[in-house]
Amino acid sequence: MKRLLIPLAVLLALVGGYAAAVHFSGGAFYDFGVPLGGDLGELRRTTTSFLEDLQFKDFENAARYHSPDMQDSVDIPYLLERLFMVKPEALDIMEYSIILAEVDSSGLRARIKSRVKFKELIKGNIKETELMLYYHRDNTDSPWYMKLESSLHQLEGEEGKKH
Amino acid sequence: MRGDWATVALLVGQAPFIGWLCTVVWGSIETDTPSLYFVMCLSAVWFGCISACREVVKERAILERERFFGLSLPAYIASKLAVLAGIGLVQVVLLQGAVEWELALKGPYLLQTLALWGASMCGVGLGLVVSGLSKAQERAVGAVPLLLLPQILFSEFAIPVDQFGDAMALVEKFMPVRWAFQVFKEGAALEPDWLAVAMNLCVLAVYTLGLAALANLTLIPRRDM
Repeated sequence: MKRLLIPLAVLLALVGGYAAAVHFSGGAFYDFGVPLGGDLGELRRTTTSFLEDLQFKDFENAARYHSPDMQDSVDIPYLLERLFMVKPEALDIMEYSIILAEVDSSGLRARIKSRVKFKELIKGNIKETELMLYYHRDNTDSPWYMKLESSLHQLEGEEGKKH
Repeated sequence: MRGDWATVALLVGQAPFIGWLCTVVWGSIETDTPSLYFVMCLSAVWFGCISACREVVKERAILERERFFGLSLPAYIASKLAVLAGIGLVQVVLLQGAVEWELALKGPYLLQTLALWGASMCGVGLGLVVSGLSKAQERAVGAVPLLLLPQILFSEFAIPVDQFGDAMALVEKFMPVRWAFQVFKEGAALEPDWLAVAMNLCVLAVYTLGLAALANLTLIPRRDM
């Protein structure tokens, strides 16, 4: 019995240690689909899911990460072109990973940096780029919404100010 | 090692500490660089060396006595390798985990673990050779920097690869850190050459076996204790 208990205890300690590492690092390690990591873990999963939507050109679903009032007006193909400098039809997202997740001191704003490897299908070039996605929420109980659309707006000068 | 938990704790604890130091340095630029890969590989060789360098010399008298009763030297070295391989694996997992906590390294995670473990095992081999040749534990520990400094000097971090002379290029190929570092570099490339990765890992394995055989040779001459 003791011979069985020791390996079992070691296994449980390893699994527990790994789960604790996933949780306290904010989902920095693979979570096997278990919702660990608190806000940071949730943001990492949301960003991963968004990038997967882009990879499979599911633009309708990719727009759903924005706040409900913006979802219908978000033009994901246009934003993609601005992000990658490649027409969406010539973009093949090969791999992606989250490299940084951060929530500000108020707990209402977050930024997630990801690394995306993609291929320009027409030229055949493989490139890598880093994307910074911004999120916000109204209060700590509200869901997170992406600010991709607003953060990629063409800058317009404010009236009455020198440019 | 079973009775010396403080030493085991120190050996294992240094790995996450070095990993944390790496995140302090590279965390300031929020990304990984080839120099980070090199530091990680060098650390892995260090872990192996420092764990193994006292293993034979501290029990040489017992070893010599046991040899009168038919102790097989290859079995003795293999037993050392087996135990130190376990400790090395824990160390490299903790090192990599501490780095990944803050920085996402480019390239496949498990491949990097394998490369670090291979580097650690080469370090174990080097440590056992030193331990077999040394007459005192202090000398064995003192020799470890002599094994590690050439890993830095004969690397592309001392002078650029295109300025290597023939002799330096040859010596560089005998440095275990180089092969582990190549795995990291190739794994992080946009179009990795997986055959080269496999070759580099094979070199690390062959290097470990070669050093184990050399450690065995150092024990053949009997020593009066």
